[in-house]
Amino acid sequence: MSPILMSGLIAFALFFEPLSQISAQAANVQQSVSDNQPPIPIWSGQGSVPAGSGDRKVFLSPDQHNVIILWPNPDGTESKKWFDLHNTIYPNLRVHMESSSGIFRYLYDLGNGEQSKDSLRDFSVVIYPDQHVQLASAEWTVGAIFSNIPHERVGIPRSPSGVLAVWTCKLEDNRFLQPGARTNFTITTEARPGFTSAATEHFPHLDLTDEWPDEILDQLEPVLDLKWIQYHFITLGPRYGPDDPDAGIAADYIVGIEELVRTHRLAQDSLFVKEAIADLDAIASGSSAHFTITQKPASELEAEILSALELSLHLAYRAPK
Amino acid sequence: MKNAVSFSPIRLKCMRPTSIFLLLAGSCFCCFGQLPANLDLPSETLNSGNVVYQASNSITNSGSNFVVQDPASVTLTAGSSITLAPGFDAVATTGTATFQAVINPDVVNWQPIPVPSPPTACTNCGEDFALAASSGISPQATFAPSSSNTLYAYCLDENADVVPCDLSLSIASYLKTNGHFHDSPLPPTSSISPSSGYTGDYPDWNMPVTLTTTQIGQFETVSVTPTDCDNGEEGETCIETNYDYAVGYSSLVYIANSNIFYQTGGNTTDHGDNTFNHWMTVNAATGLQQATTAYLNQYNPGQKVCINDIALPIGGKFDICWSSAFNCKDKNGNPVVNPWGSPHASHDQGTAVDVAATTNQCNQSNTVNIPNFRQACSFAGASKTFAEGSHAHCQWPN
Repeated sequence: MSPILMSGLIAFALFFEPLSQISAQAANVQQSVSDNQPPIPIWSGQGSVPAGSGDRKVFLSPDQHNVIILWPNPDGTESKKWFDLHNTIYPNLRVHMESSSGIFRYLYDLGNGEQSKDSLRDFSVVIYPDQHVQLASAEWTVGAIFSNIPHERVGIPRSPSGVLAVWTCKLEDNRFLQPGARTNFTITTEARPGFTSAATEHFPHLDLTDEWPDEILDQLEPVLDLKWIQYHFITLGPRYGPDDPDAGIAADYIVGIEELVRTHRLAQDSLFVKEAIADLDAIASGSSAHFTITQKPASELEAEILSALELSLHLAYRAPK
Repeated sequence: MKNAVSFSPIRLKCMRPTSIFLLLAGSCFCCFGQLPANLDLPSETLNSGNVVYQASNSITNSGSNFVVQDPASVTLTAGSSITLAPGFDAVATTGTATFQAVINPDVVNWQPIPVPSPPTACTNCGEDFALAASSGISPQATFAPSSSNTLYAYCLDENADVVPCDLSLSIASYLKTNGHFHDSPLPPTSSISPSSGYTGDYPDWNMPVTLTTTQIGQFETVSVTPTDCDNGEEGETCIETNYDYAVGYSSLVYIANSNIFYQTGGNTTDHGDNTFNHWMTVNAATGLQQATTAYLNQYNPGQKVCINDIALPIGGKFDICWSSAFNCKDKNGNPVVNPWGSPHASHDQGTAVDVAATTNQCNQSNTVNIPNFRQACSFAGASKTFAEGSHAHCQWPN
């Protein structure tokens, strides 16, 4: 029997009428796209602080999982303190998409890797701002839409911002996603799939209080910026409104696929990728012909992209005769 | 949101709130005395009778195998949530099984609180509010706290022509403005330099002066006094003029009581009532609305959060520790008396809010869980969140 969650007086968002017309499932690319530069200087904590540090009190450890803080003592001296950022996580994400009668359902299956040290305590997806969107979760909160704050799709160049769909776990309830565990989330919307970003993290990263010196709190800001501290995925999710033109959607897919190729998440010489790009080029140029893809997806990510293309642009796979 | 679904072999039907009737046969109720806040169902299989489990807050079966087998029936009633986790099961041994979940119509009709529309930018709203509490002040400009500003001093004759003159300038504060209903000691005032001179030494007989403001948000005035306007001629009269101005931020908006906010903190430190300590930048107010709505929908539906100090109407130093009567302590626990100074520094610009997590100034039902509220603020764009005594402190970029 399925678990039932009735939380916050909303119930039964878990269950849906059958949506069986189109269905696909694939594992997502499993690499954080937030592997950008460390936002503050790195220091091993041994010897002197790096040259040119000036009044800096906060440093990242070489593994970027701790901050090293020069904490002021009442006598004017400083003590070196290490704080775990609780960002030793290796999550993975799968998405399953299906549609019926113009309504799209996205099922996200989030796993916390066995090798993670920290639990996962929230999950978010940047989505198209659909007023009628519904969120559900098997074990965490029902979810919330942060609709008034435009949110960047991390790792996807030239993409418009969306709004944030967020699920959290009630921290005092201890329902964290521990290493090795999985949970799932559902979005039901009229928005068609495209490339978007999702994120997860442990929270809080630090138990900050007003007893922390102001200058240290200030210097921690870039470390705790969600864009850096969260684990970001490029995934597929609600991206396009019902009236968005196919040509624009196709052009967007090309940008996304090329970015995935550039970052080696898709193979440049993939026959599937080449055929998909060719078809998308034609659609982006205004062709209304009915295209098919004859190359079988060679990876889970390619399968996921094919599924999204079917739902967004009716670009279906057809095995060669 | 769908409220009725079907799947085989067990049927769910939503009709009643916060109550689930597991109905495999008839039903009846037993009685309870004082309810537990949270109830964890035991590991057991019920195969007869009709059992009621109730809790004021939540019911779950975490870690237990709780099985209902016909002809037993079970009723679960909880104040906020019922979670049936893996391990729960309803089993039919004969006939057609029916698993019926019934939810109160009020709950079925409950909808998440929509996020309020972001506040509209309102230049001078805070200034107008602060002026309404004073009188006889006509500010001609607003200068940011701790800023340097160039003004020009000049003299006019009876024909309104600019003429050279010697003049002196001095600054005074209008007392008890912008929510500072205390004046002992007197507030620091801005400085002006040079404070005297001969305008004839400057182009167009306009003498540039630099007004350097303090961190205090208040109304001030510059008195400009010609000192030798007769210039040797008989019968001329020197007329002193005043230039009123505000020191503060002119773009703060008022965060009123609403369906999500309950104001607190007023009338506590001689900074006026709750209409004086709830002024905020549009960006921060948008984030606070967003964080609060998300928090309430996820964790505390139907309730509000208690918003304590944000900023004064035109911002500036919010000196809550100006008197020993307020028992302030520094980060080392030492007593602090700091009139016209910090702490509470982050509340100078209308970018930070304190949200109550204890019942000190807030009903229990409206208090927040600090880590959860910090998390909501973080998703709503807050750049800094931390626990501040009995509050969650959330701060947005300026």
